[in-house]
Amino acid sequence: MAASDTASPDVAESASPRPLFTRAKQFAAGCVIVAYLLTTVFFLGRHVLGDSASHRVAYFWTWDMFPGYTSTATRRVAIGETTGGQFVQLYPSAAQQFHWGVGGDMTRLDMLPSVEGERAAAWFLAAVQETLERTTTTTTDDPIARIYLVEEYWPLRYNLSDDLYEDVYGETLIKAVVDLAQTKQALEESPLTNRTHPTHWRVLLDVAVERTKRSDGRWEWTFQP
Amino acid sequence: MKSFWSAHESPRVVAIIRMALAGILLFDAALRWPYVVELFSTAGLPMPLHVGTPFEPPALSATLAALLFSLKLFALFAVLIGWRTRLSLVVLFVLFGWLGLLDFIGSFKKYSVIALHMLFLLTFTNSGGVWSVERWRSRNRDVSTSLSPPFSPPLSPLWPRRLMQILLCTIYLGAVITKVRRRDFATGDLLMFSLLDDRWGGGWFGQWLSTQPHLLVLASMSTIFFEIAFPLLIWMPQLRRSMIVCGILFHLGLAAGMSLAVFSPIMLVLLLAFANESDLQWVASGLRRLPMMGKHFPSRDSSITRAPLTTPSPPRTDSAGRVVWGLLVYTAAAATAMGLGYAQQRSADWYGVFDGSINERLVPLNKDNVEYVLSEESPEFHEYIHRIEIGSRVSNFHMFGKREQFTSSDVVHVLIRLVQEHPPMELQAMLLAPDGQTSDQFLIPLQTAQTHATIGFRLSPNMKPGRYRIVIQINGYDVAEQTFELVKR
Repeated sequence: MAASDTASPDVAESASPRPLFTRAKQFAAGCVIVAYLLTTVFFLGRHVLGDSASHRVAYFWTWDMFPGYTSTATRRVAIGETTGGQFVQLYPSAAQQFHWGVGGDMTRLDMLPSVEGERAAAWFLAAVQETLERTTTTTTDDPIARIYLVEEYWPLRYNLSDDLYEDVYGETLIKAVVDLAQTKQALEESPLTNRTHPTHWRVLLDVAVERTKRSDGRWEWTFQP
Repeated sequence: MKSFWSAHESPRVVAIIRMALAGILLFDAALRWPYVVELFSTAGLPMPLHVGTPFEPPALSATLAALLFSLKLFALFAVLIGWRTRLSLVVLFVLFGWLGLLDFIGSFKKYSVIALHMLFLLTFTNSGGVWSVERWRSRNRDVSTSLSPPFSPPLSPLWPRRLMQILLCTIYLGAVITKVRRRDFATGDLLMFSLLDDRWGGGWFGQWLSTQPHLLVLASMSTIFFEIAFPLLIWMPQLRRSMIVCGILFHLGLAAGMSLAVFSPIMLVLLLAFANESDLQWVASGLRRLPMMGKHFPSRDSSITRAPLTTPSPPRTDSAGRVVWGLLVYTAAAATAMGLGYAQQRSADWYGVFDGSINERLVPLNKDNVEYVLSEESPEFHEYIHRIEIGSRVSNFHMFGKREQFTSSDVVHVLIRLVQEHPPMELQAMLLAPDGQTSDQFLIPLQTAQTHATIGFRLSPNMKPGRYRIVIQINGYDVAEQTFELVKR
């Protein structure tokens, strides 16, 4: 291998003879180099074969940026229904202050590509449980009996700025479709959404909630799909 | 080949990598400071990378999370200024990994893993040998002893930088392997939807690019070309600087088009692994010519000139007392930083966990709104269409040739890019003559997995010149319309 800067005067070969400590250091360095290169080659090979999740360590050695994107945008909300028939928002709550994404309004659950998986569902329920524990007094008299994890979604083209949208779709789609500002919002003045374009909803998870008081006086929550 | 790994070099390049990486990570960590409780503590919601495995580090109480994150900030600052650099890098590596594994959704993206590799490799370098507190202290000491020879920084082993170079090459190779597997990357569709994505999409420039189908293909293919070419050509001395410049432009382009957090800055720092001392000279001489910068880069004899490059300098041996005293000062500073950080978290108490008096009010929702949400109303048919184009030629899911005016010998192609996933639908395309009569029509069933639909209307000499309309219907509903002019040859 011809390295560009090995021949330059900027680098100098190690001197010899070397004392024992230096030799030991060099041996250790050689071990690190070989281990690093072997691991790199192994996981690159697995990635070439399409087996990018061959080992848990693979996340540290697999460079699979750009894995794929859908043509719809999504965000997630958890709705709680109380025994008295009232509805409250359980997620995002005051405990989800870390937001990011282009609009700076996505929670970490929104960042998950899918909430249908078992692991993602467990995180969601943990987030809801956290909210329930933070609001025990609020929900004492009228406890939450049912929880819905709903996903708001819309075509990605709605993310375009108004001027670009008009440029691209102004003469293509029918007028009523283009004029998004005049499209009536289904959820006016609702904390559920802050979008200025039409959106749609689907239910990802629907669970019944039961709570029991433990011997230490704290509530324990169980979720049953 | 032996010298490729075993040579030593001036520590200036790795010192720049150290400072730049620490600066970027410090910025990124500072942004997360108000969210420490949420991201890393049991009072919030940690999202570990590998739940229930040895890779799931112990979850932290709110207090411990505040203390350890403060220590991480301190270690970052210490690496930045080169104070006990190797020790700080080790502390930082451990904390960066620990906290990252606790929150892979919000904190441990691929750029964090790249940074972790760099921190690991930096621990084997003498990156604190220049532009550091260590260097400053050594220089002062040398000045104080008049019999000491002029101090020159100990050289740094080259192999950690070699591994950084290989890391960068494998990142590009891995990324290109991912891309070439996807058919929709070559068509530009993957890039288009990424640019519009709420998570990683772009600002106005990225959005504008997403509306330019041909530029999307060029950008996608250029990316693949670059990611293949870089690992091959960067090793050729004649092309090294050119490839570094290409890399810089590539990552600046990514940063301009998408919201990738600190990915681009970290990759730009990793590109520095291919820089060498002569590049620093080149940059310094360029800066020297600038009117206001000359005094900061006065001559080739000053701090940016080469280190004497013969053999590695023998390590200086500090007295045991001096080492212990230095470690005590370092530990005291770290403990102070942790104490101050904890006090600040406790005082701000953004999540109300430190005073234990949480009882939030839940946000009430309107019953009608909730019922609408739970009704799962389907999108309207036009919302399953992402883009419609017409042209006289179609290839690789893109339109070419004429778009406004056609002659009677042309075929007017219509390309419809559908949104995934859509239900099974029936698409009808009608060609309407200037008098409103239907000249031609097609009926196409659209399967759920179908991403594109193409239709071709063959024009004929019998058709009258004038303005024609193409009306697209889905399941009988008008969704789009395109017009074109039929002219005589």
